[in-house]
Amino acid sequence: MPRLTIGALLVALVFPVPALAQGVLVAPHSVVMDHRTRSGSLSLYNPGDDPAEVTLSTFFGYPVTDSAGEFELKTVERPDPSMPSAAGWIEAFPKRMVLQPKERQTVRLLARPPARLADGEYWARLMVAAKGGTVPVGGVDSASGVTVGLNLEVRTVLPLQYRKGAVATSVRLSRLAVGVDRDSLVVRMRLDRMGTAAFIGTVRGALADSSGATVATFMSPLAVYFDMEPRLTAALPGGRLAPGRYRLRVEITTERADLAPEVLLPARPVRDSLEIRLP
Amino acid sequence: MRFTWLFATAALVAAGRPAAAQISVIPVRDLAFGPVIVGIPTSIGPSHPVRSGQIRLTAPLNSRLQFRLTLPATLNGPAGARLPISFSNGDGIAVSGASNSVPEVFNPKANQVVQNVASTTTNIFIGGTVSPAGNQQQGGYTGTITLTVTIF
Repeated sequence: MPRLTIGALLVALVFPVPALAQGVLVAPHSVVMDHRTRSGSLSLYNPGDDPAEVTLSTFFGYPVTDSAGEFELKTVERPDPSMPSAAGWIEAFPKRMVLQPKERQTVRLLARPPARLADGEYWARLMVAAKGGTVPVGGVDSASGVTVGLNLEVRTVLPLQYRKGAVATSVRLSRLAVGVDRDSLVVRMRLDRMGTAAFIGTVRGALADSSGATVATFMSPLAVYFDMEPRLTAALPGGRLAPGRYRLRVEITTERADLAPEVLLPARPVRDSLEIRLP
Repeated sequence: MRFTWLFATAALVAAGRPAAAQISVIPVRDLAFGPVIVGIPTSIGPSHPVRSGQIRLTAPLNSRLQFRLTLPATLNGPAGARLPISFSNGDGIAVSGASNSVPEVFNPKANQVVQNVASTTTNIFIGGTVSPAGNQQQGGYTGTITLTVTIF
């Protein structure tokens, strides 16, 4: 990256132009509801200096990985009845609002599940869309006569889980593989979710050399709804690995530093290891 | 004395629990080309200090996020007039809020996945190119860029 570009970015970070566009702060970033209370809440805050028009909606989607192991959200517009979708019966109140500058608003989430809903976990995605004022383009320059500006709108998509009855989760780890790509350690694995609920947790890994010294580590949050084959990376010290024997150890637990323990479903840790030899 | 112990215990329990984690997506400034010369394409690079679009993304440490930009192909002007706009592969820059982070150039037309490893904040900068025709109708042209942030 040229030095000029970094300098310009620093200037932009230090001296931001007053905001025209609007966004909102959303908490929590993951919602869990249960069949007993059938309700939840979300807190919205407009930190800007202009009103923000906010709209809430739901849809069905869950994280998957593509063929390269990158995470993405698979959305299903019309989920068939076999899919555990709660998108059709979770409602936000209010759905639309104008948040004044520095104003907070609590949004109530109410579930109206169908009668005879089977025990299990049902999923939806909440979308919080915010937009503000428009860019002032009225001051047309006399020389050219054409002025251009673009508004920025933001949408925040959060996971929502609705639990009925006893639910359980675990994950099966297989096809563990490790390699080196340029200056990074690359780890691939297959994860199959077991039980009746999404597996929300963390994967940690460490690569040790033949003396047992750790040379690289990685950690990533996990959300396995059905199955996935993620590609996880870790920076290598000095950008390379010396020839020799190494052992990769991987552990998957239901711990998450960013989520309250009571919303996490416990499961036994899953561990695996793999030895590799670099020529 | 008993109350003191009670408060201390409560404080320890509270400290061990994560605070209500939050996510915010705040547009800092819009992408502003300002006055352009008709017949000549005008580009604003994502590293432009005042005219590039900037969005500040804040999420819990170590969380994994996907962001996707929905970009317009034309801008709307007076009396239904249109102005072409395009975005090239290097028109996006993502910079972590960590002091030692390296700006990462990305293609704004493709999905991006980031993990907040060293900082809770990521700044996203957007540039683009408008191509007014020689006989482009005078007036103000606007459009909307939508950023969708998904937390996995």
